[in-house]
Amino acid sequence: MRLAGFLLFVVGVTVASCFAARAVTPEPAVKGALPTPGERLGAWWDAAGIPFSGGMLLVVMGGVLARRKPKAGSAKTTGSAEEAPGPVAVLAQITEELASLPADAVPANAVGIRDRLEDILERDVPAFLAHRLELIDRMGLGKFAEMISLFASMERNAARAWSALTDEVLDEVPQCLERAKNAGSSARELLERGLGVEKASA
Amino acid sequence: MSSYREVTAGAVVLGIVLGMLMTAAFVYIGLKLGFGLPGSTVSAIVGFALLRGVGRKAFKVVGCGSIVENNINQTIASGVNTASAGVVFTFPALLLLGEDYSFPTILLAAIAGSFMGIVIIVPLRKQLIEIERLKFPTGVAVATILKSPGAGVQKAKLLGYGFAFAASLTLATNERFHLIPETIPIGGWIKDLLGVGDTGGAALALLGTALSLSMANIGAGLLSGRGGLPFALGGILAWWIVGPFVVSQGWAPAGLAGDALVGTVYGTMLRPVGIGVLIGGALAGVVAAFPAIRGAISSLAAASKLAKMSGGLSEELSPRVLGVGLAGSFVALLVVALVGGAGSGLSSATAVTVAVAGSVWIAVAGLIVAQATGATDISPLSGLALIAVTLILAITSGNVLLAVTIGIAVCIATNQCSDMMTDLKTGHLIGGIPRRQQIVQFSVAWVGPAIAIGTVMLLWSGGEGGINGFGPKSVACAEKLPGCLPAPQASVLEGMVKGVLSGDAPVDKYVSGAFIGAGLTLFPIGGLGVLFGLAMYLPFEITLGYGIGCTITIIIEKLKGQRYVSDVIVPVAAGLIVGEALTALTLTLITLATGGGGGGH
Repeated sequence: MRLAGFLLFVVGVTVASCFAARAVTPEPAVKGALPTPGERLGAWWDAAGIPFSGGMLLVVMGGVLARRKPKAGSAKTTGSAEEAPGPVAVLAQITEELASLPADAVPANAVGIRDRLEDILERDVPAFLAHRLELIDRMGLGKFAEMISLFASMERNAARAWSALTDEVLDEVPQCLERAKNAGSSARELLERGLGVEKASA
Repeated sequence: MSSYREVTAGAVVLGIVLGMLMTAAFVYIGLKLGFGLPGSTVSAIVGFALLRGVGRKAFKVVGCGSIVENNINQTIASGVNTASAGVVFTFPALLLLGEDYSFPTILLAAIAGSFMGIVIIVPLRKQLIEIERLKFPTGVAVATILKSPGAGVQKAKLLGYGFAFAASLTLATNERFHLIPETIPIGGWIKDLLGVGDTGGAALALLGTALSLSMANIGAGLLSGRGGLPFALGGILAWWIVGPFVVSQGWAPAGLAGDALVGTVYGTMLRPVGIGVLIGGALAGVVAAFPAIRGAISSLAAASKLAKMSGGLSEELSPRVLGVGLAGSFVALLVVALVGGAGSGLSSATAVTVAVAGSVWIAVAGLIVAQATGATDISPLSGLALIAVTLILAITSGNVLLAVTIGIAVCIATNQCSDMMTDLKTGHLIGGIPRRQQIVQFSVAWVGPAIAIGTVMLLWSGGEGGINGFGPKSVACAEKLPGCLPAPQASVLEGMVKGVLSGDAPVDKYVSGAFIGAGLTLFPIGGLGVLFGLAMYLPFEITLGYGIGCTITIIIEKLKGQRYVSDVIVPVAAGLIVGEALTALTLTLITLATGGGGGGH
């Protein structure tokens, strides 16, 4: 059904665009006067209005069909051992990794912490964000926005900790890590609640 | 209290000085050569040299030039410099049209636009950067530069390779050397090979198909990956299906062939529809994303309240500050409309309508530009400025002075929107605090317009009798002297205004395009209307190059995984963007220093 919607949508956009580009030469009501915007629109509508409307109808039908949600349970949530991990599993991995960072012993572990933060930011964050559309679909935009705001706060604080470690300003790092952990945990809670996932399954 | 240096006197002063220098220089370059240059990459690199290098070594300031401090420097410098592109496109047109303008009114409009752009776009940070995850390729490139001290040797090398490749190609395609053409006419070659004539749909499709060798464009595509693909597909639809169909139906003027056919179909059909799609897509996008935007704005208020209760600081500018900024900017625009219209007998009601329409359009255009820049790094500034001018001309029954004055505000505001979002994206990637970036950009929003307008007036008064210092009618240009400043962008706007006044505005295409843009938001991919509209608005050579970049990333991600993209593609793409920008800037300065550019026009 989604494929049919996509095809209708593409055909509709194509038809509507072709007729939107239709050139017209409006005849002003008063001879010698400049054509008004209304006269220009009217001339275009007379020449291309019906096929354009047909194209728009296909766009609407295709868009509605393409937006239909997949059957419940068809999307993966946690992921199994054989397949790529789902968003809940990835976020769980991120929060556990952040929790395991030795924030109280930064000077002795600076390089190690920075490498692990880099792994989170460059491997795990993109892996989680790859599920963005699926999550919007399943959680709804409002709940997704709430969750992703916290996720972004986690991301930004982890990045700040990475920058501070690079700049060797170590007193900045523990508070950034603390904020990243808190934001990550809150995002995880919202995600699990939004998807109706039992905590244990993560 | 952490010792991490972020907003410091050094970063602020350096940012303002760099921004002022770039604004004056880029206004001059814009009048001379007709294009603008990006300021973020330049200021990030200069910031490293001065804050990290000189600050730490010569002044012995511990921790000077930290990643987040340099981010503040580049935020301020690029924020000040945003005015140069907005002013150089609009204000000189007013002078060329011979309008009797008032300097304080123009300055007030420019400053109002500058503040309004920031306050309008800040509440959408969460929506564009966190929820929609727009790429903002230049923002990523600047973040890559800022992070380079800790990124490791391998990434630094990749950044260098990208830089070197883009720099070499920019040199090779530059008119001084012209070793290879800047644009490869792929379709033209195929046309000759197949023996296709210069007329008809097939000729249009083939002649329109070219590839720009801009590495910054391909780099932006590389950074966008799958998300940018609809942009490339929109270009294919426009140039391989819509354009040829229009020609095959006989809707293009008869007798056109070759480049004239391509130029007419593009300029009078595809481009206006593209502007309409952009507008409809952006407006419907706001409606579709309303739950998230409402959530983001209420979270601003909640975060501000929570921070106040806990004695800490919110991560965002408070809604109250934004509200005051918005109200102040609106009042300033209203004063501009009242004062600007007074001379021509404009009623107060019409002046209020002008201020409201200008403000609403700034919001719409700002959102369009932020989304377009976020997705592709390309800003449809001229088209949006034209709509602003058309709108105000319609409201005021042809008051050119007021229309272009509001156009100045719109251009500066929309540039502020894209620059603020690009800087906030950089900040997001390096761990900057959004509120601090927003405050510094807001604090210096008045500097750029003052410098840009002052520079234009200075250059204008350099002509005989204190006028005509630039433009085709200036003595230097008429006599083809090296000091000629042809002001090509302003001449384009001057032509557009004359076109609108003669009833040529393609309102039908704007309206029908807006319906298509709104329809595109029904599809479950965010920002489709803006991407598709931008694809119709631009020549295919840009869209194709960008699409090639996207496709390369998609293939590499499939073969090697996302981590490989982060580790290899991102630094290379950042190098391509920075390499082209800096080489182009250097070549431009050399051209100006040696008396080239514009003199022969």
